[in-house]
Amino acid sequence: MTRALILTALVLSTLAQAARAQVSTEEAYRRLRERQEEARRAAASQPTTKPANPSVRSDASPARGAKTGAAGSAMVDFEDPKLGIRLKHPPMWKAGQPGGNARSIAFVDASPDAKDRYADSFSLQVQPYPSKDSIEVIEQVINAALAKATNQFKVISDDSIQVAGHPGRKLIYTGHPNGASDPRNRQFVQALTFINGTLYIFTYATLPERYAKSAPVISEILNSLEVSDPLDRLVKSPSTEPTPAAEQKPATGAAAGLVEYSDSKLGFSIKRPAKWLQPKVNLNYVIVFLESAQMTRIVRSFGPSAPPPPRHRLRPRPIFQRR
Amino acid sequence: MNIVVQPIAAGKTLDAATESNKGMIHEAVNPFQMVSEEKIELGGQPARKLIYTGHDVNSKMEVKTVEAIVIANVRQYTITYITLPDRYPKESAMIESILGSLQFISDKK
Repeated sequence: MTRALILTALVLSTLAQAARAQVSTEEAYRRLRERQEEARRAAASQPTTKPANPSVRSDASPARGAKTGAAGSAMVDFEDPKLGIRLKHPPMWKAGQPGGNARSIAFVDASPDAKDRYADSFSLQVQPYPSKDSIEVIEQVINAALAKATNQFKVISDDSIQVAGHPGRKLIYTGHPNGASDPRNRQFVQALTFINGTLYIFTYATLPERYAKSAPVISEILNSLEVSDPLDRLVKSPSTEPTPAAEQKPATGAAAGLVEYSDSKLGFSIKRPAKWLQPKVNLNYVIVFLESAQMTRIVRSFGPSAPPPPRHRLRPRPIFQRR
Repeated sequence: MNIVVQPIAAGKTLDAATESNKGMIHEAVNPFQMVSEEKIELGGQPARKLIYTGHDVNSKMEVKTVEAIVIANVRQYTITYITLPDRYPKESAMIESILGSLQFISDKK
């Protein structure tokens, strides 16, 4: 039940993003034109899309990252290290994080010819999802939520695909998102994959009559999508929360190289090797220390946000690197 | 190394907790061989220390594991340290230091 609610919230969030992207098209277009005018005045030859989030890199320079794709236009490299994603998008699409949601990224077509028509948009949500369900089961729940959140919901196709090299589902449907101000029906392409407790939802929105033209672009974006294993990121990003100075007491003698770890909530303190990583684990009753990032399966075996144990789920499963 | 902290049912003894853990070793290390089983004290509480070797079912490598089980504050603490058998001699002193450093915070108060 809880999972269904989470997925429903995700679906509503995705649809809301599509609606917000549409509302913001005009503003994006205006800003883009301003930048283009400035660029022309400065005799610059290429426009650059600029992500709303400074941690996000979007390189719109054809000389550095673009290639001409099936869509007939140069695609632009985009990377968000925090979300662990990399993809290509058409030039002059504006990237942003709708509603300040750090777990998603959205793009809207801000090219000049989009000014007087419905501008296509797409979003990618990266959401921790505490489940061991198959992607098929997850999709069924999402589809049920979509059907409730979309007027005139009609499935065009529903297929198994590979998303970023992982088993996924691709749903093409039409309908009108509840509450969207634009009365026209949309055609959506939704691609899902589920990797180590993280759900990736790609949603592209266009108009049904534009779908044939947009389809090659959608394919190019989807084919370009790369995601890093969320657990690898977890391990390669040791906790950035500073340990209180009082809790880092260098040891001496046999305990040299150890520092104290203290967890008042779990009611214990212990010394641990100072140079080891402490990945964040979404289980508040498990503390993990790793000598190196190669030992990701220790964390992998826990599964993020897994339900409280049976004990066997907590058995560590290390991958050791022989020296 | 990982530390798992679980609430423990009232009346569950350290021996019962240890037997429960031992019963599940084969799910992660199979086959395995128990090298030693000791009664020790950790953080001022009675504890058990298991050392076993075996074939880690996930990494497909031979590993040596030191597992300490202790009950305090109505919780079961299981500290599991895994290494390669040939690295164990070098690391055993550090493992002992780590285990010996365990303290229960409520006990300090």
